[in-house]
Amino acid sequence: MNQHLKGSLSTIILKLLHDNGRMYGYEITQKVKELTQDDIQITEGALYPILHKLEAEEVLTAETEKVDGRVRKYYKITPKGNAVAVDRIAELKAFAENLNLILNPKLSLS
Amino acid sequence: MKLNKIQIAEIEGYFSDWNLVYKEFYDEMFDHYCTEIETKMDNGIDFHTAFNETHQQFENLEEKVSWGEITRVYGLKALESSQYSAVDKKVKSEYFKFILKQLFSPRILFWIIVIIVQYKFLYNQFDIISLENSKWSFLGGFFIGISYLLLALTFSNSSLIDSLKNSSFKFLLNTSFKKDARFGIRKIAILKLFIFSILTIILFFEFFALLNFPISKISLTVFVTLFAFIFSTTIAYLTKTKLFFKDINILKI
Repeated sequence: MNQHLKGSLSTIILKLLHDNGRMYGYEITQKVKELTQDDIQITEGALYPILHKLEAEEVLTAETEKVDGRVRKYYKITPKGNAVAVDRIAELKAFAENLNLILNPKLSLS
Repeated sequence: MKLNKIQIAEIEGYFSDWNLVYKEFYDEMFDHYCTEIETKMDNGIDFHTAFNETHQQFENLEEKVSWGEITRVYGLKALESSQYSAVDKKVKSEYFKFILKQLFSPRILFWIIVIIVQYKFLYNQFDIISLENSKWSFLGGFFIGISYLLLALTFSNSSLIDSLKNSSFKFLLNTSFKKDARFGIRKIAILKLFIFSILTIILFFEFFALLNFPISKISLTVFVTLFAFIFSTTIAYLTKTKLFFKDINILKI
């Protein structure tokens, strides 16, 4: 699963943030786990570098909030990043559909 | 299940072993650990097993860093370095864009006037600068430097001192920075750039002076002006990015 996930992880993160507004790192890993019924588990070593890169590119912006006495960092998509997110999500969707056509040729004939 | 004080202290102890430098990163990871451990404890796992499972996910990380030589860092430190390099790249491009903008703004007229005035009045007692008259060039350079510093301070934002207190320069004053990890990634990146650009100009100039290479009056004038330009532009950039600093709440603790 991991090798397939690598290239699309940033788009998955963008999709989640697009749908849920703002989220923090741990919440993202849990959401992916929940949506895929434990099939896909994002590792912290993959998640945080992507979040930080997207933040540096100003696709995401971060805000902090004190929760239970700790500082929690929430990420959300910037107005500038919104167009990027929509584009990448559409691309990944089209790719997944094409992949389906290749992997299930019989289904596509019907 | 909420963590108790002893458990929190144990996680803090573990974090201090990693020698993390950046507060922003420290906070994010500390919250990640605590939230994950609490969730695991809610599912009936005891604290130490939950803690162990959480830190194992970070153990295998590895990142190459360059601190004069290429070395490898692991675990949380690797993650911190990867975040630093993303921000470092961003700050560099932003800083160079800022310098370019200054170059193509009407402000360039001010610097052209500075070059002309210096050429006309400052070095008229000798045509070339070499070691023979370096005593004079040193004194001259010193006073020019002081006046540029004053000029830069005067032309910058009035809250400059505040901004300096909250900026990378604090790093030079604080010796326990590793322990409390109070420094923003962006500040370190800017400080590094600032020192690098100033040092490059000074070293370049020193190189010619040491070789006793005659420097023409016009090139000296351009050198000194370039130095002043980089210096004041960096000060302006630091002042401008004060807002940039504020939104990450680094120094509010």
